[in-house]
Amino acid sequence: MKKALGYLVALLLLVVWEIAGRASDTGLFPPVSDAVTELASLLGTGSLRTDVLPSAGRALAGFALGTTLGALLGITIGWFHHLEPWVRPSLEFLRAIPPPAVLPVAVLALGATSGMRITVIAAAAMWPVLIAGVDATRAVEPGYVDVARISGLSPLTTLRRVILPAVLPALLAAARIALGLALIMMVISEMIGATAGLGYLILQAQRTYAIAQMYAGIIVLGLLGWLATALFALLERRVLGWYQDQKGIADG
Amino acid sequence: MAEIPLIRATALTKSFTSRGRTTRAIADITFAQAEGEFLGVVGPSGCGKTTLLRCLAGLDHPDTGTIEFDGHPITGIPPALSVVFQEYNRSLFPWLTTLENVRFPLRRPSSLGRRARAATREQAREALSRVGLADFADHHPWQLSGGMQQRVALARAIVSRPRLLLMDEPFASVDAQTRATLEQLTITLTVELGLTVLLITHDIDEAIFMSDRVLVLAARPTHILRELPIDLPRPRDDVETRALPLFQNHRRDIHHLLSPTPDS
Repeated sequence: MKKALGYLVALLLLVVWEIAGRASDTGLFPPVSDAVTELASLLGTGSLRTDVLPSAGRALAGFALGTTLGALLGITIGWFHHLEPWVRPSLEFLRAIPPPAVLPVAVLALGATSGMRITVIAAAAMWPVLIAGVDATRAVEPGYVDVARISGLSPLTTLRRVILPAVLPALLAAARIALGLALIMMVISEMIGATAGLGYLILQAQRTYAIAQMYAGIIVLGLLGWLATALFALLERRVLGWYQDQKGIADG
Repeated sequence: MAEIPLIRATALTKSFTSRGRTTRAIADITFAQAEGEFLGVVGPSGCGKTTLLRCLAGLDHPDTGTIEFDGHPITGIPPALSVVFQEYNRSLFPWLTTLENVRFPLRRPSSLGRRARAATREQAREALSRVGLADFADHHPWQLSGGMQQRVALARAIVSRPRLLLMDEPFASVDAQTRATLEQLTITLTVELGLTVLLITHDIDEAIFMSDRVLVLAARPTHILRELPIDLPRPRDDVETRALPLFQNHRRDIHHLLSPTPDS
């Protein structure tokens, strides 16, 4: 019932957009129907293959790369915690740099390539998971490790069968944040030196006064983000079912 | 004792240094425990009992002194040993079902074939039914009561048929009623499986009720105040045994040892 109400509100907002768009005569704010029409023709002309899918692919690749690297580094630093005082200040400094600021550096180093865009997405997505990984690994219940030792587990097996499941809730919570960052960096990275991609499409549409097309691109971005979040929630439910049940977290 | 004791500790000492301050936990501990004996270790809270248990388990190293397991000095954790820790919620894995928790010490996935894996599952089931939780194999620990969770911990400790079972205040986190039930269950398992148990507790009655012999420890830095043979008849009964005059005498003796009069 509440869910249905939520969709009703969303529908209402779309109606408001439509009415406001029709009332506006500046040409800068088209009604939603124009944007949707534009969206349909965009996808019809192959933009799905040339812009949307490559963008989504880069976001996914960067997200996977960044979060994996972040988890590996985070757990390693947290596990060998006498390492932490040596690296903590550098980590705190590096992660404080807003990710878009490294874009010019990446363009210089790697050129305006797909690899460069994946790299900056990965660099942004890595930090939340890395920091969460360090903290969560350090906070693993020492009793768990005692049980592993008494059971005769090697350090590597302990890492896999005790530490990893223990830190997984924290890692996935951080990966959810990383997912948002990955999408942001996907758009921004395509606004520099690009000839295709969603970010390019939106910027180019704005520059050529194809305002409806610009909104169409933004709608696609919204849909992409919504889809990514939904898929991520499914993944979380699959691997963290025990945690959600224990904490009484129900799906919204 | 002519035969070799299962575990023998000789002149153990242990200190901790934190923020430049050194605390002596164990001043001097020497004792031996024979195979099949139920040994109680009782002492005031914070006296270093847990430190002693961690040393015996090989989780910590004493500063000086030696620990022999089955006649050999230990270098690390003896494989034929298991531990029941005080707090079940810090020792049971919430992401595993009770069955998988119990099976945890058995499984070496890479080295086991399909048949051996099935056998470990059966072994875990058998251990679970011994503690009366056969019907809760697929539950997660946090879906069970505290007493039931400590039963799971007990099942996990006996699943590998250890030669020595160390118990660190195992019933301190449950209510009195559950505590009595768990004490009785532990005694039953000890008899059924022929276990050798070393029980650490601050509860004098519990130590007397369960043990063949009790070591009374002094406050920190700890040493053994007295070794007390408990020659109460077995099988022991929660009501009858505790009502015996001998039980009362033991209790009085240990109380006097642990709360000395001002002039002593």
